[in-house]
Amino acid sequence: MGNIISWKNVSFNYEGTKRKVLKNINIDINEGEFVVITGPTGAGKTTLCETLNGVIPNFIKGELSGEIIVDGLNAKSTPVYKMASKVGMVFQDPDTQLFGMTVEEDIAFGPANLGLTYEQCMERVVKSMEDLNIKALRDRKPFELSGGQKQSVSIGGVYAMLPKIIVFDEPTSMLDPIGKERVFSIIKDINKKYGITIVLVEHEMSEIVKYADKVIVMNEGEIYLSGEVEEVFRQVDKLNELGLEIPQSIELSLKLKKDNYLGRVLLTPEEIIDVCSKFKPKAEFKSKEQSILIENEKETIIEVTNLRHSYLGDHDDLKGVNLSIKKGEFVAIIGQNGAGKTTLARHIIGLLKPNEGKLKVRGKEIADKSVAELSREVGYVFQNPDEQIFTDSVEDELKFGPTNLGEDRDYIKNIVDEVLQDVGLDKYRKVWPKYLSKGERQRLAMGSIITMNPDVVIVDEPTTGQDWRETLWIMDLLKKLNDKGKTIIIITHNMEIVNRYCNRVLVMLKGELILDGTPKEVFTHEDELKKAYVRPTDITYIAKNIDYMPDNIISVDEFYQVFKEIVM
Amino acid sequence: MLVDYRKCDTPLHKTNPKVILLGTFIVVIASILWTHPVYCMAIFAALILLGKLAKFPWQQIKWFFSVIIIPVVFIIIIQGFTLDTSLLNASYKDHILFYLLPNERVPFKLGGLLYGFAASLKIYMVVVAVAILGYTVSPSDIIQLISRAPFASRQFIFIFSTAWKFIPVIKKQITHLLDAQKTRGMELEKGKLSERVKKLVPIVTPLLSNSLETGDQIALAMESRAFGTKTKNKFIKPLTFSLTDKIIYILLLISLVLLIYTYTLGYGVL
Repeated sequence: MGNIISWKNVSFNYEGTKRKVLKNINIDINEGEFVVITGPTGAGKTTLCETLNGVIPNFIKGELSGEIIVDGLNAKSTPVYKMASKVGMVFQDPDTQLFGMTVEEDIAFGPANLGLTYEQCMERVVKSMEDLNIKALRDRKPFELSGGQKQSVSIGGVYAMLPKIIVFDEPTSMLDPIGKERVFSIIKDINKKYGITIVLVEHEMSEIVKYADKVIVMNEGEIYLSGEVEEVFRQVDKLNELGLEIPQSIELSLKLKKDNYLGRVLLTPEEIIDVCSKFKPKAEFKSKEQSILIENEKETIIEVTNLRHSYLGDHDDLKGVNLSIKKGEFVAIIGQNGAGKTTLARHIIGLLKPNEGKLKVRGKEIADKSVAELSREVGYVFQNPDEQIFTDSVEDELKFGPTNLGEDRDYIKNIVDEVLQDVGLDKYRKVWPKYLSKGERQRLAMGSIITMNPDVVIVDEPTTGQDWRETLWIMDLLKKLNDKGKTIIIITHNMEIVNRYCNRVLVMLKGELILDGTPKEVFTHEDELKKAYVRPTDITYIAKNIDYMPDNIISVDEFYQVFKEIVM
Repeated sequence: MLVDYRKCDTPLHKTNPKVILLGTFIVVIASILWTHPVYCMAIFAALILLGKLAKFPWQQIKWFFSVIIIPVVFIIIIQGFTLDTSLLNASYKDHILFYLLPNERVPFKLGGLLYGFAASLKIYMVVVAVAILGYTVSPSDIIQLISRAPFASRQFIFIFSTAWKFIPVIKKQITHLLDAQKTRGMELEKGKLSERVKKLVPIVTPLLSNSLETGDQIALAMESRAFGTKTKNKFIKPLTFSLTDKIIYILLLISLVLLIYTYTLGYGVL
């Protein structure tokens, strides 16, 4: 198959700035290829994709040099609406790309813009819904759908325009695991079954290495690495330099290859299971499991007794939850969207009142306390930092909480100075928060809670939409707070960070707490996890599916050590 | 909408939206023209029957009925005391029910009372009719009906439907911002009204900037789906009229003509 996309010496800077966000890009993509573009935040990935359909420079202004040829058209000089029939784009946030009052109308939006008649539009709608398996959503209101369903509809709307290329800009960053799986499976089908060229911008690599033909790694507007998946991921040191996440299967595979257990780098967990299962164990593994649960004598800081809550009154969203959390624990609440994780957390901070049951913080009932009163003891960082930043400068934002609590000036000055250092935003003290990157805004949101010095910090999905480096930065910050004695509770879908940072995991399903224990304990309960749609990390999955390996492995290093012990 | 649309298997939900819209229009016209409480009560009773037929969730607008009960009583009292009854036709219009002050000063007239009662009923009539419309016709069908109007360009329809969809999104954003303020130690419920209003000021900036950002993202996504081409296609679904729909539609049109004609003859007027 021939070239369908060609960037030749492409450079770009946004209007009013001199900084080049794309620097002399040269890439060719063949028709039908599945190409993944990755790299740290700010590397220029999205900008590069926006040059494909002419959004840059027609919609987003700036200085664009070089040549961009897409299916024979010059993307720089062809109007965006003409390019739209060649290149479809699916963005991060499904809420901002759904235009119809119903799913059917939304999918018809693009074809209608192309000037097709009602009947022609409907033909496209039906085909799109059939091919993407979303027929059941036809008459639903887009805004009532789950995240995964919304994103599927967005893809359907783009697919109905019959483009030859579809660009996906971090399409799963706002989705839960089920939504992610659904969207990845659709993307895979679009490529493999219907032959559409895919350009996917993504941070999370473990899922997509299974389907990608080519990986492009960008950094600071340049192509840092490119080639086939194996070729790129073999260069671990270079990837580590950028702080990129390396899929656990590849990390393990590289270690095993180095010790000559494997002849080549294996990309997927299934391949590793297949090959490693053929080894014969020479030793029986003796578990050296250490208990890392917080000692019992520590003070109980949060106590939840028979907590029930119902939003609409027709069913319980929390069904009699019982729980106690000790001072200094680092707890992860996991489970599918709608399982009751955020509802539980909102009760602890007092934003929701229970229909039944009791909540105590430091032994005192909180029923009569206002949220503001409770904020001295329990801090809550919302999922979206933009919904909790109120002031005009980073410094003022950090002052907002302690000022409301009536702290004196000197205290506020000292704590703000300290926290600015802790969250790494000292140089942005006077900057308008909107000018910060998403990761920095998330840090600011966390900092604004830390300045209130609560004993418990609850963070709702702290790493959603962040690159791996920022994810680790944020989690390290929470770890430091935990080391200082703070109790940390995170709500997350990222099992890798649960394994790395948390000493206790609570699994929720349909308003009930179904598992409670250390990561090692919890991740062995395969059946319950399946019910809760929680997928352990690849390394746990690999270990579980190799007969001679213990099934409570939670890190690559641990797997590697145990494997060597058993098979050598 | 006072009550959100719900897909149900009732005769009203199955009726062509254009018929329901015409019915609602007639109620609005009647409420403008008629001043006689008996006529208004007849329409109100018909609306209650239609509501029953559509399994309308009366509980959801109960709050509205109770909230406007005070202004309604106020309207009736004011009309009873102040209405210039020479504008009415009814023979009993000047019948005095009682006096507010001694020495037969400030009379409360039957004409004013009935006029005020009809005026109040008209508020309920329109509200119930519009609520039944919203409950039985999907927003999508309402937009489709608007799309048929000659004044409705694609841009107009798009702006209208986007605004409609984003009301719940903005509402959610406001709730999140207020919740975030509370978790940062702000006592929103405490203090005088003016102080409480002042505490809301900080949410204006993030609300505006978030909305602008959302608008930007929407524009980018629209552009990427070829919005802006010069096509005049409006993606209008063909409307299907069953025989019953046609009969009801014609009957409603006749009713509308009769309503206006009889009004000119003095019917429906107090």
